[in-house]
Amino acid sequence: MTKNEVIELKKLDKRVKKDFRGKWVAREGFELIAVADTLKEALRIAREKGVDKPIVRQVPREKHRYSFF
Amino acid sequence: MSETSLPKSKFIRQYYRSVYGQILMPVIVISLATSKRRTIQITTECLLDSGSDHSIFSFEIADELGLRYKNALIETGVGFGGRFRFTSFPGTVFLGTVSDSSLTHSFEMHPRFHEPGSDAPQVLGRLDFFNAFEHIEIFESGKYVDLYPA
Repeated sequence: MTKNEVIELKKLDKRVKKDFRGKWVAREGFELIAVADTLKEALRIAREKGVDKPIVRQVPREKHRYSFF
Repeated sequence: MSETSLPKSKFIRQYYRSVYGQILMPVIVISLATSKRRTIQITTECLLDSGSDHSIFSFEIADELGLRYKNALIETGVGFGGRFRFTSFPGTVFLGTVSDSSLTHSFEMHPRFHEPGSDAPQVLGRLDFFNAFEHIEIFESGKYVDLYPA
């Protein structure tokens, strides 16, 4: 990834955490392609938009600053 | 004073992200498929976690790969939040793929899955992710990870 892509991805992560808690999000590069309640629906929306291999994940439902795993 | 030089071979670089808390953490983009249905592949993001024995993905990913909860083995483990339940599919061989613009590495995995409905984090553990690489370098100051395929 280029430095610019890393920066754009960080902006996307910040927006996703703020606006889409608990949702499944699909992206292509640093572009948000789909937001849905289920993975199945997020994949369907992505495929409808012509993105065959989106990168998907579920946004945590709760907000917190630190993580310990 | 002794010095150790690591072999300089090709690697896959992945950058830190803040996908859980506010702090940047080592997140890996990985594609998962089963050996029986390799054309169905889900690409997702997981925390690189040396404290985890196994990798754990969301159950919705298992579902999209054609696996059903009624066929899963339910197990319990212990994590930072205490005891928790997870599922596995002992008879299924999974294929993990990690890549960047110059290199692709595919390997066998035996991940676990969270219970349906859980939004617990997805992690990549030692026994089925770390051991697919000759070594993994974590650059905390630079906020990236270099993965050297085995």
